[in-house]
Amino acid sequence: MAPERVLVLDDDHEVAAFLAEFLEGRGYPAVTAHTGADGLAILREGHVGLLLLDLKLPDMDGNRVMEEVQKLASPPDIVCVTGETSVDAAIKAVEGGTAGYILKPVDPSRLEAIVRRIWERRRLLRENARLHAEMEVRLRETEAVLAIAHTASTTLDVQEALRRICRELTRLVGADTGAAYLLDPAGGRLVPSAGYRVPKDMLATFLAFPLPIGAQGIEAEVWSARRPVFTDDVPSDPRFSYQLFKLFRHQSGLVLPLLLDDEVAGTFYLVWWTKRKVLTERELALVEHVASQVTVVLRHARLFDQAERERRQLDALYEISRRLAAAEDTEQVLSLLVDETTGLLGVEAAGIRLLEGGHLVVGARTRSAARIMARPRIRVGESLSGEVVATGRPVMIEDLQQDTRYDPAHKAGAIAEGFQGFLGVPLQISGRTIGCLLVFSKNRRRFSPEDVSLLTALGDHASVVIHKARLYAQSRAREQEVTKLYEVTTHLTATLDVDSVLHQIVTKTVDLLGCDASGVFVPDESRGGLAFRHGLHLTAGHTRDLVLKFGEGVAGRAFQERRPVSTTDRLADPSLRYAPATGQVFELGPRAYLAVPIVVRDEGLGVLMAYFFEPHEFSDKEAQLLAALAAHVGIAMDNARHYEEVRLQQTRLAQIFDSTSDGMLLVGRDGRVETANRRAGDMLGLDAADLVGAELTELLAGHRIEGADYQRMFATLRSLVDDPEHGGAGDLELGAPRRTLQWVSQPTKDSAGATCGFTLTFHDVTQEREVSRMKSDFVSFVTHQLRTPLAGIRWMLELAAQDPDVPADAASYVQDAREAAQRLIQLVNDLLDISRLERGKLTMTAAPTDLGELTRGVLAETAGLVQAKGHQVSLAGDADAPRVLADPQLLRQVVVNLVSNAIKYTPEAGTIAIRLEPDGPALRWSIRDSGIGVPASSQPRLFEKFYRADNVVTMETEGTGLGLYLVRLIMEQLGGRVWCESEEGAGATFLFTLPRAEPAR
Amino acid sequence: MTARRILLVEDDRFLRRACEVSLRQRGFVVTTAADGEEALRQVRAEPPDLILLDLLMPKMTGIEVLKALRAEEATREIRVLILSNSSREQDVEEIKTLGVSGYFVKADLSLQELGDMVARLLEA
Repeated sequence: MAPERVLVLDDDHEVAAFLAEFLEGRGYPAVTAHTGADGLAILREGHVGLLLLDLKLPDMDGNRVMEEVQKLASPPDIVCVTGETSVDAAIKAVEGGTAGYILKPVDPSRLEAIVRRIWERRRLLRENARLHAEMEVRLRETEAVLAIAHTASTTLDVQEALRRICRELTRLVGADTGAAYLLDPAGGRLVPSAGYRVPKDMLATFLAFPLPIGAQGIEAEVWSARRPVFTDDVPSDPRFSYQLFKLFRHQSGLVLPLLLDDEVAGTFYLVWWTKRKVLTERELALVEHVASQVTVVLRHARLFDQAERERRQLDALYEISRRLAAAEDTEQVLSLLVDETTGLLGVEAAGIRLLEGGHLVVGARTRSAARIMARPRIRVGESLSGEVVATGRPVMIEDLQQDTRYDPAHKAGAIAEGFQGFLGVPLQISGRTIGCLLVFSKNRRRFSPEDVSLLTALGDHASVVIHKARLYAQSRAREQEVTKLYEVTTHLTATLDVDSVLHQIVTKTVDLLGCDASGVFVPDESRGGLAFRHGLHLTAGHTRDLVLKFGEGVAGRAFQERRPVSTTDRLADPSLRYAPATGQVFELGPRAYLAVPIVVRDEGLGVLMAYFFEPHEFSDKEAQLLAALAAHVGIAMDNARHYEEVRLQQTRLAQIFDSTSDGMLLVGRDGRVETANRRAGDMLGLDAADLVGAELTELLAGHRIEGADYQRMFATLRSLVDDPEHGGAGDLELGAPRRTLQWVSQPTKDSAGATCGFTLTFHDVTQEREVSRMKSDFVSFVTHQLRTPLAGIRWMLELAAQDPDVPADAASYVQDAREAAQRLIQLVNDLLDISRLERGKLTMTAAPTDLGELTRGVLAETAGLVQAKGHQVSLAGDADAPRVLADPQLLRQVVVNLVSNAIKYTPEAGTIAIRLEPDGPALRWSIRDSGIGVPASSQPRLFEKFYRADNVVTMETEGTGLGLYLVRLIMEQLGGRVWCESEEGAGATFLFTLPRAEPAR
Repeated sequence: MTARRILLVEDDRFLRRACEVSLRQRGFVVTTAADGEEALRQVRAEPPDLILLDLLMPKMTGIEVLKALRAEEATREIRVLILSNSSREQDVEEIKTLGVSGYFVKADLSLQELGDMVARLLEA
């Protein structure tokens, strides 16, 4: 920018020259003019900071000049220089906006002071303006950076972030359109990633056109110098010659490098479609600065993106491992894995080779890899996979053709199939290489560290799968061995022949240990020691009737101490001098002994022996082997024994089951018969075997007979099928032949305690029921036959008692006979009642009954007897006692019995107190007398049939021993309870309780 | 008021005699029958005001007699009092359906009680 000058405008040439010269000498550039017109012309050129104005000019008034000066874009300061001293002129000059006023002749020092002051002020103003402008730029810059920072913090989406940055950059420099390109890590090109205000009709083309770096004229500056490239004439600028720039015709363009971690990661391109943009240094610096801020955003977004990618990879890996876990065989798993690998790494082919001996065989391959991996077996040295396996490290080849590091022969196959990129990782288990996982890409591909780690992770999966498969195969082999052993064992136990088991074992012992002989001792309590049971390669003379005491000898010690015991040489071992009692030292027998106890569940079943005829040092391995055999023999012996026990048990149970006189059915939850005994078959007229599987209700329905109770009977059985938990009992009437079965049901439980059905036990009660019926008829008949003559006696005596002609003595005999007859009738009635109650044949109708009223009625009837004996009888609590629920007739019999007992067993002039009182939900009735009482020894049996207390038997009272029994039967029938509280000689209290009738009923 | 006529049907001669005596003493006109057939014959010849009927009898049981009575128009309304020493549940249930004035066990009744009851029945 040109420096400012001082214009001296004075018509006096001399003065003008002098002043200009003076000012130049003081360092202020100065020009002169002598007319108003000349002066204004210079002023309009600009660069005039100060006008020294003579007010008196030939062509123009000074004030007029001043007016013109004020119209300029950047007016200079004005100092008036004049000879006039009139106040008017001075005022005018000041009003015209002058900065100073100097009178001629000019005082140079004063002029200099004024000029210096003005110059300083203008400099300051200029400085202010510059600062201001700079501030504004900074402000815009800050705003843009803020906006980008905001973007950075609010979006993790790279594309969205780039779009916003494009927007900020575009706004910052007033461009029309902005675009962002990112470097494709896989290849040397720029991929359109975001745009701002890209015209709609261009959008598709814009997105479809990546920029190849090599084809760009701007490459050097942007990629090497990392500098922006700008042109205001795109069509003719050779640097902007790439097709894309031609495709979108525009005038000005700015390319900004996008730096990330000190590397160019992409570019921004700003477009002015028609404007020939003048890009100031300041603007350039600004966009550069803002673009550099992008790094932060991109780094954020990249990290996020990477995390996102890793998450997706993890998801995919997880999915793979899940599917691998579900897949059945290794082959399937591995081919699944290579398929997934191509998808995850974005490659076209993948495969696995596994090390087998010195060769690599195909473990799995994608269809696309079929031709590259055509040979089923290759040597480790002859391929890329061999390279991976040999080094145990990943091998990466960006471009198979360009590569110079690896043997061309190894790469030829892949190249021939049109592949360019290669990556292979070793498969390892516990640091040992077992094969490799390979991927091939059609394009040249620089695999990133992430790719390598991803492939390694997939390789680890494959390794685990293969490892698992191999372990599985091993365990299958083991399992088969065990199965065989198990088969042997089951075979042995199934024969139930312990001796054959023992023979197998001793044979095996000799085979496996390579010993000379073997044998087994078993405990024999009857002979007080371990008896020799079975041997191989031992002469009978050595073993016949051989019994060792527990704790004696090698075998005895092994048995007692429950551990292997051995001796290298029996003859050299002083602890093996047998006691003379055993007396069996055989010089010619085996010398070295090894004994292991046969123990099952802490029970010693015997001792297994291994013998050498020469001295022999037994190794730990030999002891272990013999112990393993001993375990087998133990289990076999134990099994044989248990099997025998179980069979015995089963046979016994089956015998019991079949020999019982009751029929038994086991019914499952589905209502079908699961098991039936022979008797059940007999009862239902079928073979027991035919009952199994039959539906219970159908089975019984086949035997039904017409009868009133039929429906109820079968409903009960059916409900049992639905709810076996509660069991039940009842009678079942079956026809053809007609018979009665009494059944009882109990739920059956499985071992966990859950109900799994029920048992049904049938007891044939046909005869019992018949007998019962006959008994009932008999009782009826006997009762009738007894009653008829009794009634005759009673009535005849009654007639006799009415006869006034009968003498007094005879009349009293008649009276006694009447009482006797009466008692006999009562006895018959009691017996009949008891018979009925015992058979449950007494009909009873429960109704709310006023026990107080009932008691009063009984007392009224017995008033004569009471009076005769002179007793005092009281009744309390009867006034408003709640009613009980009972059959009034039966209840009356109870009260009559208890009241008459009290009267009978209380000596004359006694007291009898009857009381009614609530007892919880029941009502209690009690009668207390002052009679002879009931001895403690008699109380427990008081309510038994025909029982009479010890002390009443000696008393002169009549009694049958049926009264209290009848009372008890009735109370049981009524759902009540009766008992006695007494001390002999101190009276007795008889009490009963009955449920109260609810007020509502 | 003319004397009331009672037919006493009873196969036991002691009971028949005692009962007859007792009722006559009270002023009733009493005729007797010793079995069911005889009873029916008498009823048909001359219907009584009340029949005292035993159950277990030769030739024809009391229940059969009762059924026959209830089946005939002329005798359907005659009152019957069952006097039996049998108390078979089935009999009791059946008799309830045939319309009787009462069912008593003879051994449980005194002649006094029986006479009172007959008098009450015939007055009503």
